[in-house]
Amino acid sequence: MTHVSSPNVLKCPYCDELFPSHKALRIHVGTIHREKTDNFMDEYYGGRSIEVEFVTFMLQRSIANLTAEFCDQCNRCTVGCPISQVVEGFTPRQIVTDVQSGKIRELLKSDIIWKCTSCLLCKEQCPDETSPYDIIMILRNLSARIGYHFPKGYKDSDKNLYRSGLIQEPKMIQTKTGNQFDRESLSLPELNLPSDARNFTKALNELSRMRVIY
Amino acid sequence: MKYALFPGCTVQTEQYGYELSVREVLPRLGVELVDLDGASCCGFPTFSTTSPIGWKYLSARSLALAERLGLDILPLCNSCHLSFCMVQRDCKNDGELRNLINQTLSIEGLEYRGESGIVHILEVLHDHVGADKIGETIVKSLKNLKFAAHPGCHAFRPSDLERTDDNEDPKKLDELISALGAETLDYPEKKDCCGSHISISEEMASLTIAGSKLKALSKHRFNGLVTTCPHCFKLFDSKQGEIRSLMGDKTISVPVFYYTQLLGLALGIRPEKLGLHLNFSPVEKILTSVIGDVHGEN
Repeated sequence: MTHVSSPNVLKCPYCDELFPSHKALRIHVGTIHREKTDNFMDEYYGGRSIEVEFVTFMLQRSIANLTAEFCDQCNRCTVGCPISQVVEGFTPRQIVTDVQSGKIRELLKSDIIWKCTSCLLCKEQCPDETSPYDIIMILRNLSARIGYHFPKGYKDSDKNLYRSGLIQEPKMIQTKTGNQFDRESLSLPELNLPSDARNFTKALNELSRMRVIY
Repeated sequence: MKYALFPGCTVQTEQYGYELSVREVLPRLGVELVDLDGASCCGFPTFSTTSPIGWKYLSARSLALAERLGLDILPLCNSCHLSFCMVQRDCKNDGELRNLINQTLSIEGLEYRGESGIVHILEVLHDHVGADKIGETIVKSLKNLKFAAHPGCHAFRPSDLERTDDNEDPKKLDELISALGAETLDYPEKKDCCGSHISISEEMASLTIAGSKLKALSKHRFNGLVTTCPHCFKLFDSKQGEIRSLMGDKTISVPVFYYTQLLGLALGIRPEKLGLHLNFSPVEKILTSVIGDVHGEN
């Protein structure tokens, strides 16, 4: 378990030069790297700064071993991938290659990492310990944390989970003959739900805010 | 045989046919089910994206609830089962993780010690009850019917974690189908993913993947598809209309069953008690051949 704290000195993410203040870094990034400084500062040192710091650390730790030698491009992950066959532009191997060549921010901002269906076949085929599936799950977590790209379906299920303990409310089912049934009319027992909803939500909130790495 | 029943979100909020058939069938085979009061979502695979630690807490919490009852937990969903197995392993290997989770669990007076077991419904039926015992208990043979077994990815992957069935050649569901007097066949697409986990963000892709599998079933002349996973079932059973229009193939029409529904029919239980009136796929033709006529909904 590793905790990450805010930095004392600010490091430019492009060239690793150190700066004593936000203002100095802002001028540096704007002039040397020609980045729009407002967006840049918010992303790196504004409201999301601690999150970004955490994410950077997590990335380093989680996928630092993805050196050029890590993946020998055997392509077994992609040959069997059911998504690669139907979604253009999605290949597990390309995601690994992009991570290796440092295109992490591009990956996090695109929706490509959300196209994996978690069949675990690449994990099974991959000769390396960290499979494309594992990398995609790390990237999804990072993307969700920073708020770059997080599909609505995931947001909705999280919202329900915090509120009730389940990812969705029990549905009324309309059968193909037009009749409607719910748990009660089918004589199914009451839902299993956390008995103390307030403490349940509180626990989830506290854990989710925690910057720990697993 | 007594287990803490964990239906999971999808089953208890919409896949009522599965829950009905499980509650109807298992007790008749000597399996006692105890409701896991106070349980919640297992956290996988949606909340695990937002918060890996939050996910592990959620799964450990349900494991702790089962432990308090002194029972092994029986999730009805492949992904819940996988989630519990992953969290059990992680908590066993990482004392700090376990401590952190237990700190939070202690607010509710719970503790996860890692003592309770996790069983899959295929294990309960195949390994604990036994296919032979099922064969002896049934009153109606499903002879002259041929079903495709679809165990679902998370029942047999990943192989570095103890799973329900063999990763290369999962056979338990086939053996359970055979026990009902029905025929089954090892078809090349058996281990193909249903595509359901991508439906949350890429519905078209998920429908295409499921559609290819359904098309293959007709090619092999199966009378229907059988599974024990609610995610796979939901896609195969309720989306055939959309799949037909997307693929431009009007011939796709496959009856889809939960194994416990078929087992219930073979035990002579009325279709509506097994929730078969809730299946969207065309199950009627099978019901007619098994019981002669189809009962109405009530």
